[in-house]
Amino acid sequence: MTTPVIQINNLQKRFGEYQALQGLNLSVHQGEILALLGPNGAGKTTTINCLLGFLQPDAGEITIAGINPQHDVVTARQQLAYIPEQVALYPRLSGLENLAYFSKMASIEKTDEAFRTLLSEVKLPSHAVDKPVATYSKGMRQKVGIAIALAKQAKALILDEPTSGLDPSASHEFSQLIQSLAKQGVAILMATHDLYRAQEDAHRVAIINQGQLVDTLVYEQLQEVQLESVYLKHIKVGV
Amino acid sequence: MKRLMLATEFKNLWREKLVLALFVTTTMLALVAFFNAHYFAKKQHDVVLAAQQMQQQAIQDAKAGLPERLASTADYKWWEDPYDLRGQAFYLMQNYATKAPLATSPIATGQADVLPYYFKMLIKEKQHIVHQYDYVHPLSLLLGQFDLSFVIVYLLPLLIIGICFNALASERQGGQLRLLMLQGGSATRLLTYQLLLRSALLVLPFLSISSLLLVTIREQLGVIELLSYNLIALCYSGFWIALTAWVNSRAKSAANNAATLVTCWLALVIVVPALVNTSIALLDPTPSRIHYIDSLRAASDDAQKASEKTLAQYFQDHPELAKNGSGSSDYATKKIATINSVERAMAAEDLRFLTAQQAQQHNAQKLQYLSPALIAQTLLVDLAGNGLARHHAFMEEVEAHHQALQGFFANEIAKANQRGDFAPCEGCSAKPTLTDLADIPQFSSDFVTPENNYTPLIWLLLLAVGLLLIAKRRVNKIDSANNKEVLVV
Repeated sequence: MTTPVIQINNLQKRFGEYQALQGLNLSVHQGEILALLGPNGAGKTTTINCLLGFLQPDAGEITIAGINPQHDVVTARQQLAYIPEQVALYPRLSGLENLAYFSKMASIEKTDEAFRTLLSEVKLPSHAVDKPVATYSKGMRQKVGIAIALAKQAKALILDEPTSGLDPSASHEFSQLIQSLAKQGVAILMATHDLYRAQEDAHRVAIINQGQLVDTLVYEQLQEVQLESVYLKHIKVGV
Repeated sequence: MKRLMLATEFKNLWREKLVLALFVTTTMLALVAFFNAHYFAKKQHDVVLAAQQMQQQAIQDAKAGLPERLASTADYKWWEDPYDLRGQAFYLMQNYATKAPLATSPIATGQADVLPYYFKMLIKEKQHIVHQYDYVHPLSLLLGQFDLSFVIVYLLPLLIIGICFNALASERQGGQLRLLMLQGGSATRLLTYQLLLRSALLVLPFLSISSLLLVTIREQLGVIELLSYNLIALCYSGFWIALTAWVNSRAKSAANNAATLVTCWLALVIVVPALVNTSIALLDPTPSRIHYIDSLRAASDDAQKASEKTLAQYFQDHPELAKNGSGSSDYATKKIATINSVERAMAAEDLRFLTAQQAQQHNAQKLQYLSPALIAQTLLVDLAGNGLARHHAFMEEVEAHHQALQGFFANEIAKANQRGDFAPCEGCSAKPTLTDLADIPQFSSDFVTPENNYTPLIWLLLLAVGLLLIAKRRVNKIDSANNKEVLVV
């Protein structure tokens, strides 16, 4: 077994009286897609914010490619890419300009042609490459987000509700892209409510509730069970 | 990274059509403000020039007409005779005390549109000259005309607020800040470059255009004046940029930033100056003008009623002017004695006004530190030569000129009396007693203007630096590993 790219041990976070994370343990290995499932308020976004270094855990430890963001947030962030539900790009810049800007911010120097190739790899329509992002659909913005992650050659990719609001075709295309990234060795943590996508794409599914890991299903189990039943059982809604 | 961030910010602003809009706005403001104040200054300059020309023309005309007057045996009324000292002293004299606008005048009209800038001098009580205008206190009426200082003090801060209120906040709310930070960017750099670029796009074109206009159209403008103008405008703009940085560093929404900044503008530019003005008036009120006029009339009446006593007092004070061997005196000497008596009687009232003025000015200098707008406005008005310091210097010179004229005519009239020139024989006309009008003292417009005090600029800079340091500390927190501020969308 390889060393996990993303490692979370006994993560705890409290907001006032509310205990958002209660000793969460997770790991994502190189080339693995881990789907993080859980109801609203389960602690998915808090976990992601701790991973990104935007929140300081109260206890526990996180490492990204061996680097603890609590100790060295800049280096830890260099190891990861992040695609939120709404990819935040500059609306007046084109997809190409956004990609070039955010990549150059990460000290990635490429030619315009190289950036165009990246956008073509993520299947952004060529006619849209030079148009302002304000005219893009959500799926097209997601593709630019993936291109930014690709350009960065990050070891870990964190996705927060990536397929929410995408039409089935765009969702399928997105799924293919992250599969391709996983094949390139990127460790992918995908927080989602989309059980179908999780079952289709993930190598492992982790279900969390009330800030705790309540179940983990590996690929083989996922082929045999009905994920929705397992999920609902764990969050105690009943079938 | 600096170039990349600046270029991207410029591209964003350009595509929002903000760069062009800012350029057009600042150019229009600079042009309208400059020419509005320039034509006002030009009008004043023309009036001053006309007064000086009239004065010179009167001297030339008198010179040209002298042979004819000397040869004439006609009966001249002394109050119509330009060659009679008395006629010149009380009615005919073309003698002007003028305060010409400086080359910097279009920077700030200040109170130049309400304060007198020229006086037609005659031998009268000085109260008719120096008290023919009134002002409430030193900082009132500062708003004035639409000139460069109006744009700098009132409009530039609003424009700075208008284009900088959402710096950082826009990226924070839009989510780009998170992505930017994950890519190695920092909130501190983003805010710094955004504020620098946006304010430069606003302030630099305005200052460049207005400086160019000042240099090309106001030809006598010196380098020091030009640098001072730019320094004051930059320091004042710097304060507002620092304030914007401080407000933006609180990591609130863009709407909250806009509301806070507009409130600050209202407080610092409108409310505080109004309160300062009120405080100055309340702390050291000027004496009642009605009471002053009543006192002046009473002093004048008393002096005229006791004209013989007044004259005796006058000759007691000026024995050299007494006519040898004659107990009576002419109208002119009595008139001058009366003027002297009124001026002496009004000395206490004048002192009360002067004391109140000085106290108000002193308070104004102290209280201006409460508002950067007051500091900038006062400095710009002083630089333009339309401030109270230069005006007071002018008025002191006017008083000195008044004394010189009074002394000249008193002496010459006394001498003419002693020679008997006003009544050479029974029924004869007076002899010409003033053959060269150039002998009359002329006002020197090269009066010394007090040096402008730039100490308040240091205060403005300190305020700006203080605000920037607080802002930097706050934004650094956003850049740290634990920053809930970035998460609030």
